Amino acid sequence: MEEKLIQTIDSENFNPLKVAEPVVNEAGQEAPPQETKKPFFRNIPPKLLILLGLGIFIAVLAVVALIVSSMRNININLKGTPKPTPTPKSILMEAPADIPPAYQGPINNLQENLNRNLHVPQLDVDSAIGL
Amino acid sequence: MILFLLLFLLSALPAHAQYAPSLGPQSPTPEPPSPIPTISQAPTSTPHLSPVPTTEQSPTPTVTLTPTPTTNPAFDLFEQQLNEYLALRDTYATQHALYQAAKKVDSKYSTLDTRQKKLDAGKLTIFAREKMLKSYLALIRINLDKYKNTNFDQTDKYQKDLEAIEKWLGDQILVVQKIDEPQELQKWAESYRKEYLSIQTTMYTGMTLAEINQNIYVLNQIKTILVPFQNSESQIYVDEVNRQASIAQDNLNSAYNMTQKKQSTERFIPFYPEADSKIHSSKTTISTMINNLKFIVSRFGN
Repeated sequence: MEEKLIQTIDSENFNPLKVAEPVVNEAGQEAPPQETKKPFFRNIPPKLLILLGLGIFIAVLAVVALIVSSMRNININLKGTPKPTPTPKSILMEAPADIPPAYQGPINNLQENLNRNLHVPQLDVDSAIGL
Repeated sequence: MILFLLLFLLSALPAHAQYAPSLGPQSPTPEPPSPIPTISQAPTSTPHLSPVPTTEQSPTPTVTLTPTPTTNPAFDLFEQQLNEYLALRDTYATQHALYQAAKKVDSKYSTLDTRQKKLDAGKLTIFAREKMLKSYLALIRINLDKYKNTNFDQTDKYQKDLEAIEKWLGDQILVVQKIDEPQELQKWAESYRKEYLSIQTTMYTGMTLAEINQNIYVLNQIKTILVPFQNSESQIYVDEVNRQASIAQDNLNSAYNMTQKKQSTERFIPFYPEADSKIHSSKTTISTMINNLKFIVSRFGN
């Protein structure tokens, strides 16, 4: 019978020189050796594992791509159509100072013409009379 | 995953190459011919003011603008026409209510008498309606007069179209006067309804065009005022105003294109609210342009 060493470090009577007695059951038979647990990923089919790895790799690449693109200020539109370029803000942001008299009339006139309301009232017609 | 790969590839491309796949020097894309008049181009070379002695007053740039349409008689005429239209609209509303009542009675009792009363009420309502519509079209036609010179030919064409419809509506009053059978009126109403589809298109195109002309007028005036400021000192500010002008012009072009969409033969597809919103965007841009113009003249106009 093959002898096996069973050493339990936390045991009070731990003696490294002591030969461990074989583990036997009530019937006097030697107990079968305990199966060591396989690592989790060994249970996954290899194909799935490859796909999973590829997926993680691409996801990492995408994150890197997004970071790079945001750094370059590139517009990526997921719909596929290019985003309209944002209109740059007007460079003329200062409040106007006094307008020279020669220009006051024409500029007021511009404003007046632009504000003129050309709307005509909405029409409500029953075009089906007689039907 | 494919999406992620695409994202990665996109990011790897140089920014300028993303939407311009063609190689070599880029040629400017030819712009489609503008259906509405574009704002007049300001001359590129401008007289540069020579340095003046400090003892003398610097010459103020002269501004010569075309006469403003404030004195245009169309403005007064429009007010008169508007009052006439509003009165006719009230008459139509009253007649229409009477017609609806007669129709209700006829559908309940359906006697010869109720049928005749319904026919008479219907005819009176049609007269009132045609008069009101004629007045409404005249209102749109006069409205087009306000800024007609900005875009004379096209505006004139629409005014003639409106006039032709006004005449046709007047003719319909005579046609309906001769009708004395409900079936006959029904037949006429059927053909009228089809005609009314094209009337609506002309009507709303006229309304849109009036506002486009107004915007173009103001844009042209801004360009005129800017002429003396096209020099190296103020050029970047003028360029900014010109850039805004092209945005406004694009909105006006879009508004006009909406009026030209093909209509269904069965029902009218409204385009005016959308076109009006484009015109509103143009007006907002022009307002900003006016503010910028104030800045330019106050800074460089002395």
